Amino acid sequence: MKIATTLIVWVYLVTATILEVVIYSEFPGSTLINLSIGILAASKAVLIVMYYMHLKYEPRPIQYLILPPTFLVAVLILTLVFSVGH
Amino acid sequence: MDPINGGQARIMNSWLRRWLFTTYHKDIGLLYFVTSLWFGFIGSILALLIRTQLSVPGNTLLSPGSYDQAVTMHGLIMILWFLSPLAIGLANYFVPTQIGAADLALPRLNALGYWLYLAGGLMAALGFFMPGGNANSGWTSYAPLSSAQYSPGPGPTFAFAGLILLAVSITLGSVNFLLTIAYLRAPGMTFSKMPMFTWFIAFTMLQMLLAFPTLISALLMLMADRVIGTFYFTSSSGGALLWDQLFWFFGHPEVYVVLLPAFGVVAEILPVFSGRHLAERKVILGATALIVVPLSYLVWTHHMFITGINLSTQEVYSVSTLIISLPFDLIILAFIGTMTRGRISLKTPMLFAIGSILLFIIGGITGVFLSSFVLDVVFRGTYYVVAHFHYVMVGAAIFGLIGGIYYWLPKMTGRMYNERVGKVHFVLSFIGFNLLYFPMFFLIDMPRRYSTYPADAGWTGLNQLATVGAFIFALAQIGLVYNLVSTVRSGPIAPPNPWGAETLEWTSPVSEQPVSTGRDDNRMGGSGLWDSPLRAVLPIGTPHQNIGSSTGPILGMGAGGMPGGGTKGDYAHGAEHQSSRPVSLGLAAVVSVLGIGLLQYWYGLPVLFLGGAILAWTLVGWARDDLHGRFSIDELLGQRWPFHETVKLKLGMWIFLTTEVVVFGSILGSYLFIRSQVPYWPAPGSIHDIPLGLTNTLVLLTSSLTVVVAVHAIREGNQRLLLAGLCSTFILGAVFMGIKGSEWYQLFHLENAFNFTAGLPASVYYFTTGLHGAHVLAGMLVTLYLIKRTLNGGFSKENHFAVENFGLYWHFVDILWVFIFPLFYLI
Repeated sequence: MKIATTLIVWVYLVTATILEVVIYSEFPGSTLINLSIGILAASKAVLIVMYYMHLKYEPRPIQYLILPPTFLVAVLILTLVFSVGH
Repeated sequence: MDPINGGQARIMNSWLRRWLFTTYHKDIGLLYFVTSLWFGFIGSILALLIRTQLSVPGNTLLSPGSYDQAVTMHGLIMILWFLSPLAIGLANYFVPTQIGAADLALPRLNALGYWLYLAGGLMAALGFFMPGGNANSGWTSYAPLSSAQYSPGPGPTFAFAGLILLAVSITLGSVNFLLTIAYLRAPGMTFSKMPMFTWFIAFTMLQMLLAFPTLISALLMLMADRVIGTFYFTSSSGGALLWDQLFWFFGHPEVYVVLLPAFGVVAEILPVFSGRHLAERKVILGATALIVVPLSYLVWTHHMFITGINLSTQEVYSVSTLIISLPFDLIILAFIGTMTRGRISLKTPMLFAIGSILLFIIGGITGVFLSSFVLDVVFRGTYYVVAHFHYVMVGAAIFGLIGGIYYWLPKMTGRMYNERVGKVHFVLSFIGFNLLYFPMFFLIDMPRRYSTYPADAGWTGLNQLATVGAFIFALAQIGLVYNLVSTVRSGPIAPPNPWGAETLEWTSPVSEQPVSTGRDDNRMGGSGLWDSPLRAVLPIGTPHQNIGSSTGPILGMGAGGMPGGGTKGDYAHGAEHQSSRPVSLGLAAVVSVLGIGLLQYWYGLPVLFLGGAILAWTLVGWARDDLHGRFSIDELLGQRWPFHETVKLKLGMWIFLTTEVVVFGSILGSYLFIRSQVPYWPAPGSIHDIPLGLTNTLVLLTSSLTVVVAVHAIREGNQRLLLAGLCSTFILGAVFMGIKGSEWYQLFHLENAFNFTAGLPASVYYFTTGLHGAHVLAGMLVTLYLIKRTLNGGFSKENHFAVENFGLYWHFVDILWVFIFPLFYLI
């Protein structure tokens, strides 16, 4: 991975973080905004995993390793949140 | 010195050093084996107390409180400190030899796993001797019964802390086993040729890997509730339900964690004693890999049908529970098919294997009814459920594992057991077991966990039958003890392969002696072992003449007749193979947990500090071992599909990170659950300082950049830039911790103090950011080690994977904060 790519990713991470705060400051409490902040956070996580943790450049088996726990955590969270009430 | 006494002292010293400091897989296997049997003995005593109490109505042998403790600790000890560790003992001993590896991938980690397991068990048992007694809220530790309010005193705290140690031990072990199986298979040992026991251990480890982290999260939260007064599980906003969800997310896969090793043993025994190939091997493996393992994580809420979860959830999980019974039908049919038309030899291992299958059929069929959320309303919490899960977890699992003990005893000891005693052991066990548990199916109206019952309830006769069965079952185990002791002491010498088995472990000699290469990895290369012809990879029926032929030593044997080339005398002389660090870490764990449990007393804190000091001393020693090359770690590329392009420790780090994903996923999931349940939550910015949080986020993101620079630098061979990158990372980590500390300080000193006990928002904030902070701190300590190693010239262009692995960890910790910041500060 080129060092320039590393820097570009870092600039995105910083910008997205500041954007999260700006979005919150302008439109606090909105569900849509909360979702947007969540998506921004997820995009940052994906970039870190892909570029800083080099997953993009790893062999397929390593790339697949991360999928089962991510899927299971998603199922756990969905069940936790949506199993109560109707 | 008297030469005789001096000689005895040396022998004693050598014996102690061996068992305290060993990192050799067979030794660790034996330690697990013997320790688990002792825990099994303790659990059995508790079981007999329970059955004696219930043998007559209105019995006062045990007080209700004592009965609750006996039931709770019986369940915990039997499942977690007996059944699984017994399987892990066999796995430690035989998985490396079955795949042609000289040891597990990370021997010191393996030894650490054992000592943490023992430390946890001792702490859990210690609870009986504490004021107020031990944990008493059932093996499920349901909240809020397990809270300090309903289970006060140090005893339950010890038990729950002991469980954390056990869960950590198992998680480390699962990483180690998966790494071993993925990385250390001998040439030719493809997955298609891998022995069934090893396959089922791999499946078990896959389940442990992602199930136990949830238990760790839940227990950490429970401990926070008990020790510092947070409200995770004591809040009226779904605290009890949250525990149920987290516990059963671990608890249901745990059923298969206990069961699958036994099935692996049965799959080894059946073909050998039927004189046939295992029928439908691919179907068994496919059904387990594609359905049992993944689906075992997706059925847990069937344990919660009566807790008030909504109908849609009940329907989904009812169907998934029904589906998971199907692969087991295939497996059992394949087992039966193996025996059909076979030349069955009813030796003791085979009897226990058949017993395991029969008991599983009963346990499995009766379990299918529990997948129905309608029938579950009737069955839940009755002795029907007790009978069902004992048929699966005791019947199928124990019978299978005991079969494994008899099967491999000649290989472990070099001697034959007494067949007649073995058969009597089986017959009495089978009769006793069924007499114990079958009557419980008819106690469908008797609630479990009640310490007594009235005489006119109509339950007396069935309970008495069960009690008689319990004593027969328990006494039958004297046969096992007799056989173990007499075989070791005076059993007739066993032939190398008494059963004519085809798997690789039977081609190696009987030996408990370790390799003494002093390397914390497999001993690839140098021994000639990897060039040897392999029995297991030959088609079944191929003559044995290739084994130990002139092309190299027998598999697993080096030139000195020992695995990897060691000689029998190496143990006494090869101290470099041993390490005092794992047992020392176990000691640190015991002392620390003692301190935590006794915090309510004045001496709790000093004891905790002592534990911390031992921990620090040990970690420094561990790092010094590495710095001085006592346990060198190869950074070779893997040679086995599918990880042939990956460095072993990098794969280990990725596997470890999968457990971390589940740990923090559970914690953040708990946060989201609580947010969805609590009617009031402080508005963003009203408590937490957003600019401060933003600053900290930017600091941590920048520290990730410096780690990338460090990795990039050493890949180019630039030592100075590496040092600069590592030092910058350490400083940024320290800045992050400093800001976090000041933030906590300010919150504690608000007008309305926002401290640990200030309600649910405070609970989840401090717990989540605290655990994250602990990870940052751990990362900083590793950075210090890496800086020291860099200064010693320990890294180069070719030798840099420790930096890369640290980078993976640090970036992961960074990702956690990427989510924590918006969740706690902005949303």
